[in-house]
Amino acid sequence: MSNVLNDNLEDFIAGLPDKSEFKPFAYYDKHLDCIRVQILDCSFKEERKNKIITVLSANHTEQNNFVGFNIKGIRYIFEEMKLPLSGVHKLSDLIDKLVKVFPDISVMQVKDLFRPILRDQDLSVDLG
Amino acid sequence: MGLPIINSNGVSYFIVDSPPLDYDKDPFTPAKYAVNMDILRGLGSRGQYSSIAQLYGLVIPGMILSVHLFQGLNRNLYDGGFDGDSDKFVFSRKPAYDFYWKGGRNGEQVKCMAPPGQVFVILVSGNTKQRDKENFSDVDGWIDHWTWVDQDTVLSEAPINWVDRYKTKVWSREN
Repeated sequence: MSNVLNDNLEDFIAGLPDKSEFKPFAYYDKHLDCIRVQILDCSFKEERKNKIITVLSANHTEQNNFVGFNIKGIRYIFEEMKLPLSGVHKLSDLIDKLVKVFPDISVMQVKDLFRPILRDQDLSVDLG
Repeated sequence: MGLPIINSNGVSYFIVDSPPLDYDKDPFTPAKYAVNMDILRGLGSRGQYSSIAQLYGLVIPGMILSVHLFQGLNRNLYDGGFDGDSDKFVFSRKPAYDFYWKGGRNGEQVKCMAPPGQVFVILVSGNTKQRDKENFSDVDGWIDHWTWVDQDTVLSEAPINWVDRYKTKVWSREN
């Protein structure tokens, strides 16, 4: 690895491994204890719905274009849902459980907005 | 010349200047916040080029221009304990421009006007754990995340509903 951060963004991105093209993803952000789900690479706004759900909307577009969401406080949520904080979890199943344990309008909104794409993309999150 | 990447105690990182946490006492000594290269590698491997463009365009050159600092995320956050949210800080400001990436890996950076009615926030963890204090005494904390959020209707350049959203406002300043 170089001992300086490439000061040219284009060169930095060109130097990334070949497999690094964007595709919808879900991952556990251990620093902020949340699952981040994103289906489009763009500038976006994070809109905090409540202590559990944040929704991502694309910037620089005329439409109200939802491009992802965050589920926050994963350790607490998994304890409440009696799920192991390890292994691979299918996101569509996780959302279904979330709606049952936290029946909140924002959770329902995420389910309605994103469940089809989560199922089509077969997105999962690996908690290690 | 790019920012130096420091390799220390098995961690690679580079440093971004910010206003100090105790700005009211000593406004002239910048704080040093580290970006762990693992975070940058993660963004790269997932193809989050727009977030990388914002790192280059807004975080690295602009964190020092932050106008407000808040502490505590007011939500469940496990980080060695369920009160991990208290150790998170949020810098905010309203930049004139936004940056994103267009066209996949062989695309290009786009610089455009900032989204109206939004502020840019940078979330950091304080260097409060004993291990971090001992091994990384050259940094004040770690940059975890950055994004746009709606602007508060009363306090300019602050995130919307900051009163409910965060535990406290550490300081505000004129830019």
